[in-house]
Amino acid sequence: MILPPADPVVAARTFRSHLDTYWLNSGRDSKGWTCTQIDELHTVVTIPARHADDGVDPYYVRLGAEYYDAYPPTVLIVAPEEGWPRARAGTPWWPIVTSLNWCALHDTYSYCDPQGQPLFEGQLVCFSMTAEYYMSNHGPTEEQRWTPGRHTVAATLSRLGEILSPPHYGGPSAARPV
Amino acid sequence: MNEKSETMKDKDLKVTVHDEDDGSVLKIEGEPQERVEAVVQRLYHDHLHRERREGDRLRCDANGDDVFAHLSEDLQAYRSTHCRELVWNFLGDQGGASV
Repeated sequence: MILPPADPVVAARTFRSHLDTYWLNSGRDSKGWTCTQIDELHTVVTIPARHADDGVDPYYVRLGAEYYDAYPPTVLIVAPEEGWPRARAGTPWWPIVTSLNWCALHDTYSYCDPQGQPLFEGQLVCFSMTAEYYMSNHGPTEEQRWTPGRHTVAATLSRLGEILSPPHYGGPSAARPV
Repeated sequence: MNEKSETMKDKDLKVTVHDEDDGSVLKIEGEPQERVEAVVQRLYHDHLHRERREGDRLRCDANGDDVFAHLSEDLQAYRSTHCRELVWNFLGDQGGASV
Protein backbone atom coordinates (compact mmCIF):
# COMPACT_ATOMS: atom_id res chain seq x y z
CA MET A 1 0.00 0.00 0.00
CA ILE A 2 1.35 3.42 -0.93
CA LEU A 3 0.54 5.88 1.84
CA PRO A 4 -0.38 9.47 0.95
CA PRO A 5 2.31 11.86 2.21
CA ALA A 6 1.15 14.38 4.78
CA ASP A 7 1.55 18.13 4.46
CA PRO A 8 5.04 18.38 5.98
CA VAL A 9 4.35 21.57 7.93
CA VAL A 10 1.14 20.25 9.47
CA ALA A 11 2.66 16.82 10.06
CA ALA A 12 5.73 18.25 11.80
CA ARG A 13 3.63 20.46 14.05
CA THR A 14 1.17 17.70 14.93
CA PHE A 15 3.92 15.18 15.55
CA ARG A 16 5.86 17.54 17.79
CA SER A 17 2.76 18.44 19.76
CA HIS A 18 1.82 14.80 20.32
CA LEU A 19 5.38 13.83 21.21
CA ASP A 20 5.68 16.70 23.70
CA THR A 21 2.39 15.75 25.33
CA TYR A 22 3.44 12.15 25.72
CA TRP A 23 6.86 13.11 27.02
CA LEU A 24 5.41 15.45 29.59
CA ASN A 25 2.68 13.13 30.81
CA SER A 26 4.58 9.86 30.81
CA GLY A 27 7.69 11.06 32.65
CA ARG A 28 9.93 9.43 30.07
CA ASP A 29 12.90 11.65 31.03
CA SER A 30 12.95 10.17 34.50
CA LYS A 31 12.91 6.68 33.01
CA GLY A 32 16.02 7.32 30.94
CA TRP A 33 14.39 7.99 27.57
CA THR A 34 15.81 10.80 25.45
CA CYS A 35 14.78 12.57 22.26
CA THR A 36 17.10 13.91 19.56
CA GLN A 37 15.43 15.92 16.82
CA ILE A 38 17.04 15.23 13.43
CA ASP A 39 14.94 17.61 11.36
CA GLU A 40 11.39 18.89 11.37
CA LEU A 41 9.96 15.48 10.50
CA HIS A 42 12.36 13.11 12.20
CA THR A 43 13.35 12.39 15.77
CA VAL A 44 15.53 9.68 17.26
CA VAL A 45 14.24 8.34 20.55
CA THR A 46 16.60 6.52 22.86
CA ILE A 47 14.77 3.73 24.66
CA PRO A 48 16.47 2.03 27.59
CA ALA A 49 15.68 -1.67 27.16
CA ARG A 50 15.42 -3.39 30.49
CA HIS A 51 16.64 -6.90 31.28
CA ALA A 52 14.86 -9.05 33.84
CA ASP A 53 17.85 -8.46 36.14
CA ASP A 54 17.40 -4.66 35.81
CA GLY A 55 20.32 -4.23 33.42
CA VAL A 56 19.74 -1.66 30.71
CA ASP A 57 20.71 -1.48 27.02
CA PRO A 58 19.84 1.68 25.09
CA TYR A 59 18.27 1.31 21.65
CA TYR A 60 17.75 4.04 19.10
CA VAL A 61 14.58 4.40 17.09
CA ARG A 62 14.10 6.98 14.37
CA LEU A 63 10.51 8.17 14.13
CA GLY A 64 9.25 10.00 11.05
CA ALA A 65 6.14 12.08 10.48
CA GLU A 66 5.98 11.67 6.70
CA TYR A 67 2.39 10.36 6.84
CA TYR A 68 1.39 11.64 10.28
CA ASP A 69 -1.18 11.57 11.65
CA ALA A 70 -3.45 10.00 9.04
CA TYR A 71 -1.03 7.11 9.53
CA PRO A 72 1.37 6.27 12.35
CA PRO A 73 4.96 7.45 12.42
CA THR A 74 7.54 5.61 10.39
CA VAL A 75 9.78 3.56 12.67
CA LEU A 76 13.37 2.54 12.00
CA ILE A 77 15.74 0.97 14.50
CA VAL A 78 19.05 2.75 13.95
CA ALA A 79 22.66 2.56 15.08
CA PRO A 80 24.17 5.38 17.17
CA GLU A 81 26.57 6.39 14.43
CA GLU A 82 26.98 9.34 12.12
CA GLY A 83 23.76 9.78 10.16
CA TRP A 84 21.83 7.28 12.29
CA PRO A 85 22.09 4.36 9.81
CA ARG A 86 19.63 1.49 9.84
CA ALA A 87 20.52 -1.12 12.48
CA ARG A 88 20.90 -4.67 11.23
CA ALA A 89 20.20 -8.04 12.78
CA GLY A 90 23.34 -9.57 14.22
CA THR A 91 24.70 -6.24 15.42
CA PRO A 92 24.69 -4.74 18.92
CA TRP A 93 21.95 -2.29 17.99
CA TRP A 94 19.35 -4.87 17.01
CA PRO A 95 17.31 -6.30 19.89
CA ILE A 96 16.24 -9.88 20.36
CA VAL A 97 12.52 -9.94 21.10
CA THR A 98 10.52 -13.01 22.04
CA SER A 99 7.12 -14.16 23.26
CA LEU A 100 5.00 -11.55 21.56
CA ASN A 101 1.85 -12.32 19.58
CA TRP A 102 1.38 -8.80 18.24
CA CYS A 103 4.78 -7.70 16.98
CA ALA A 104 7.73 -8.97 15.02
CA LEU A 105 11.01 -7.32 14.07
CA HIS A 106 12.18 -8.02 10.52
CA ASP A 107 15.68 -7.09 9.47
CA THR A 108 14.46 -7.19 5.88
CA TYR A 109 10.92 -7.52 4.62
CA SER A 110 9.61 -7.35 1.07
CA TYR A 111 6.12 -6.80 -0.28
CA CYS A 112 5.47 -6.81 -4.02
CA ASP A 113 2.40 -6.02 -6.10
CA PRO A 114 0.83 -8.83 -8.19
CA GLN A 115 3.18 -7.96 -11.06
CA GLY A 116 6.16 -8.53 -8.80
CA GLN A 117 7.08 -4.89 -8.43
CA PRO A 118 8.38 -4.14 -4.94
CA LEU A 119 6.08 -1.81 -3.00
CA PHE A 120 7.95 -2.13 0.25
CA GLU A 121 11.41 -3.35 1.04
CA GLY A 122 13.40 -2.73 4.16
CA GLN A 123 13.38 -3.09 7.91
CA LEU A 124 9.96 -3.71 9.37
CA VAL A 125 8.92 -3.15 12.96
CA CYS A 126 5.69 -5.00 12.47
CA PHE A 127 2.75 -3.84 14.53
CA SER A 128 -0.21 -1.64 13.74
CA MET A 129 1.24 1.55 15.27
CA THR A 130 3.97 1.92 12.62
CA ALA A 131 3.51 3.30 9.10
CA GLU A 132 5.56 0.44 7.64
CA TYR A 133 2.97 -2.07 8.87
CA TYR A 134 0.46 -0.52 6.44
CA MET A 135 3.01 0.04 3.69
CA SER A 136 3.79 -3.68 3.72
CA ASN A 137 0.13 -4.53 3.29
CA HIS A 138 -0.70 -5.90 6.73
CA GLY A 139 -4.34 -5.89 7.72
CA PRO A 140 -5.37 -5.15 11.27
CA THR A 141 -8.86 -5.58 12.69
CA GLU A 142 -10.88 -2.40 13.08
CA GLU A 143 -10.04 -2.37 16.79
CA GLN A 144 -6.34 -2.66 16.06
CA ARG A 145 -6.19 -0.16 13.23
CA TRP A 146 -4.43 3.19 13.75
CA THR A 147 -7.18 5.77 14.23
CA PRO A 148 -6.30 9.48 13.83
CA GLY A 149 -7.64 11.44 16.75
CA ARG A 150 -7.51 8.37 18.95
CA HIS A 151 -3.94 7.19 18.47
CA THR A 152 -0.85 9.36 18.59
CA VAL A 153 2.87 8.70 18.61
CA ALA A 154 2.26 7.73 22.26
CA ALA A 155 0.74 4.47 21.01
CA THR A 156 3.88 3.73 19.03
CA LEU A 157 6.32 4.57 21.79
CA SER A 158 4.41 2.79 24.54
CA ARG A 159 4.47 -0.45 22.54
CA LEU A 160 8.15 -0.05 21.71
CA GLY A 161 8.80 0.40 25.42
CA GLU A 162 6.87 -2.77 26.15
CA ILE A 163 8.73 -4.76 23.50
CA LEU A 164 12.02 -3.68 25.07
CA SER A 165 11.07 -4.77 28.58
CA PRO A 166 10.76 -8.10 30.39
CA PRO A 167 9.60 -10.68 29.54
CA HIS A 168 10.01 -9.83 25.84
CA TYR A 169 13.46 -8.25 25.63
CA GLY A 170 16.18 -10.86 25.23
CA GLY A 171 19.29 -8.70 24.90
CA PRO A 172 21.17 -7.35 21.89
CA SER A 173 21.74 -9.63 18.93
CA ALA A 174 25.53 -9.12 19.26
CA ALA A 175 27.71 -8.04 22.16
CA ARG A 176 27.81 -4.33 22.84
CA PRO A 177 31.14 -2.52 22.39
CA VAL A 178 32.88 -1.99 25.71
CA MET B 1 -12.75 5.40 65.46
CA ASN B 2 -12.46 9.15 65.91
CA GLU B 3 -13.90 11.78 63.62
CA LYS B 4 -10.59 12.51 61.96
CA SER B 5 -9.91 8.91 60.98
CA GLU B 6 -13.46 8.49 59.69
CA THR B 7 -12.98 11.54 57.51
CA MET B 8 -9.77 10.14 56.12
CA LYS B 9 -11.32 6.74 55.50
CA ASP B 10 -14.28 8.15 53.66
CA LYS B 11 -12.25 10.50 51.50
CA ASP B 12 -12.47 9.72 47.81
CA LEU B 13 -9.49 8.02 46.26
CA LYS B 14 -7.94 9.32 43.06
CA VAL B 15 -6.99 6.93 40.30
CA THR B 16 -4.54 8.26 37.71
CA VAL B 17 -4.85 6.68 34.28
CA HIS B 18 -2.21 7.10 31.59
CA ASP B 19 -3.82 6.54 28.23
CA GLU B 20 -0.93 5.00 26.32
CA ASP B 21 -2.82 5.30 23.03
CA ASP B 22 -2.94 9.10 22.96
CA GLY B 23 -0.54 10.14 25.73
CA SER B 24 -3.17 11.82 27.86
CA VAL B 25 -3.52 11.51 31.63
CA LEU B 26 -6.78 11.58 33.49
CA LYS B 27 -7.85 11.47 37.11
CA ILE B 28 -10.86 9.48 38.22
CA GLU B 29 -12.23 9.79 41.72
CA GLY B 30 -13.62 6.77 43.45
CA GLU B 31 -15.13 6.13 46.84
CA PRO B 32 -13.12 3.74 49.02
CA GLN B 33 -15.93 1.17 49.18
CA GLU B 34 -16.73 1.44 45.50
CA ARG B 35 -15.85 -1.52 43.30
CA VAL B 36 -12.91 -1.21 40.95
CA GLU B 37 -15.38 -2.03 38.20
CA ALA B 38 -17.19 1.28 38.73
CA VAL B 39 -13.98 3.25 38.22
CA VAL B 40 -13.21 1.26 35.10
CA GLN B 41 -16.71 1.92 33.80
CA ARG B 42 -16.16 5.67 34.24
CA LEU B 43 -12.88 5.39 32.35
CA TYR B 44 -14.69 3.83 29.41
CA HIS B 45 -17.78 6.02 29.57
CA ASP B 46 -16.22 9.41 30.25
CA HIS B 47 -12.87 9.17 28.51
CA LEU B 48 -12.79 6.38 25.97
CA HIS B 49 -16.46 6.77 24.98
CA ARG B 50 -16.87 3.13 24.13
CA GLU B 51 -17.38 -0.30 25.61
CA ARG B 52 -14.53 -2.50 26.74
CA ARG B 53 -13.13 -4.61 23.90
CA GLU B 54 -11.21 -7.83 23.75
CA GLY B 55 -7.56 -6.88 23.55
CA ASP B 56 -7.83 -3.84 25.83
CA ARG B 57 -5.25 -3.80 28.57
CA LEU B 58 -5.36 -1.92 31.86
CA ARG B 59 -2.47 -2.43 34.20
CA CYS B 60 -1.09 -1.11 37.45
CA ASP B 61 1.90 1.07 36.57
CA ALA B 62 3.98 -0.06 39.54
CA ASN B 63 3.88 -3.80 38.93
CA GLY B 64 2.05 -4.49 35.66
CA ASP B 65 -0.78 -6.25 37.47
CA ASP B 66 -3.97 -6.64 35.39
CA VAL B 67 -6.64 -4.29 36.74
CA PHE B 68 -9.40 -6.28 35.02
CA ALA B 69 -8.60 -9.18 37.34
CA HIS B 70 -9.79 -7.13 40.32
CA LEU B 71 -13.07 -5.65 39.12
CA SER B 72 -15.09 -7.11 41.97
CA GLU B 73 -12.84 -5.77 44.72
CA ASP B 74 -13.51 -2.52 46.50
CA LEU B 75 -11.12 0.27 45.65
CA GLN B 76 -9.59 0.65 49.09
CA ALA B 77 -8.82 -3.05 49.43
CA TYR B 78 -7.47 -3.15 45.89
CA ARG B 79 -5.22 -0.23 46.69
CA SER B 80 -3.91 -1.87 49.83
CA THR B 81 -3.10 -5.20 48.29
CA HIS B 82 -2.42 -4.68 44.59
CA CYS B 83 -1.70 -1.11 43.46
CA ARG B 84 -0.79 1.29 46.22
CA GLU B 85 -0.30 4.39 44.05
CA LEU B 86 -3.45 3.78 42.02
CA VAL B 87 -1.69 4.65 38.78
CA TRP B 88 -2.90 2.64 35.80
CA ASN B 89 -1.85 2.35 32.16
CA PHE B 90 -4.45 1.79 29.46
CA LEU B 91 -3.67 0.33 26.02
CA GLY B 92 -6.15 -0.63 23.35
CA ASP B 93 -5.55 -3.58 21.10
CA GLN B 94 -2.84 -3.58 18.47
CA GLY B 95 -2.12 -5.95 15.63
CA GLY B 96 0.98 -7.41 14.12
CA ALA B 97 2.84 -10.54 13.25
CA SER B 98 4.00 -12.82 16.00
CA VAL B 99 7.48 -14.09 16.80
